[in-house]
Amino acid sequence: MNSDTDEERQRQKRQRMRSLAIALALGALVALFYIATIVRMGGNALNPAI
Amino acid sequence: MQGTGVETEIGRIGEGAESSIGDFVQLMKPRVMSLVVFSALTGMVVAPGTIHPVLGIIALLAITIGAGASGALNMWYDADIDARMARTAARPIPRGRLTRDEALSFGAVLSVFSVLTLGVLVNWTAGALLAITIAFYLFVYTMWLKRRTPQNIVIGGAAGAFPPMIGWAAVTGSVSLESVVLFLIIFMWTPPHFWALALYRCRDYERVGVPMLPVVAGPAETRRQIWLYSLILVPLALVPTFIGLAGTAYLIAAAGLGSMFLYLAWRVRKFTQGREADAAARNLFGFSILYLFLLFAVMLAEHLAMQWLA
Repeated sequence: MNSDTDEERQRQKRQRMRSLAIALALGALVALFYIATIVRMGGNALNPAI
Repeated sequence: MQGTGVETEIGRIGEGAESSIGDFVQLMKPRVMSLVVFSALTGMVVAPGTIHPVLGIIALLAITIGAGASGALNMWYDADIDARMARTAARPIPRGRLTRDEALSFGAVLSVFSVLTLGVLVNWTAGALLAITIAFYLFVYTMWLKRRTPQNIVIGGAAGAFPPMIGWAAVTGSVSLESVVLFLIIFMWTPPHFWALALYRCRDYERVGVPMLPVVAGPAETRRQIWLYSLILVPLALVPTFIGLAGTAYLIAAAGLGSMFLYLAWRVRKFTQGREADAAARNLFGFSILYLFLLFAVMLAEHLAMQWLA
């Protein structure tokens, strides 16, 4: 019984860590695309007239 | 087991050990990744034209992660034989720190995202080349050739030769003679590099039935082929100077390094028994890594110096 509970706790901990890692990776990817888009748009990126 | 500090059970895939981020990093074969990123950087720097530094960093990141994804997928597929080889028994899957499914998911997701990132943010020639590299390494080398033919690393070695071509394509949007020469240098370097390793790890490969050349054709034939490939590699490495890709400093360095490479390959051919034979193979294997790194380092440094002086 105790080992089942420990295993379940470990499984949940692994799942939480995985979810956090995926969230961070997705956030980094969004930031990467945003930065690259600004770079590719060049000088016009901050021009509201366009 | 070298480097682990603990007794490693060889033979079966472990279960249920706790994993960490380090295990996912290990899945990606970081030492291979470092050579990949360095050769890709060289391809990018020596390519004609320019790339915005941010996009250049993104390209390098995508190439590196693509290379890491290939490593993870390779470890997914080869988990069974990794568990039975002393050289690989401490990897995360044989040690039970990660499951095969986790490695597969990790590798697949990284593959897709690295290719998409490179294609969308840099250009699709580089993205396509990265996709081809990953697919080649997984489907052609890992899943098809590795367990079937002693020519596995000759053909499969093409996967490791693509990175400078990808770096070049990231800047120019194309493939050219010069980038093909960079590809060929690594392509011809791969057999003597891996066969030197296989010579002193022969029993490991034999145990798991991987038909590396020393297992199938014997050490004598392997030594002969190492020598032949070295004779092709060394003059090939001089070609960049003659096609305008590199200058005199590179020519001198390539000639010097090539002479050492040939000397060590000759020693592998000469010493066929006992500890001397093992030492000769280890020395060639160790030097081959330094050789490739220094070739590309000198090419890169010379190019940067000439730009700075111009």
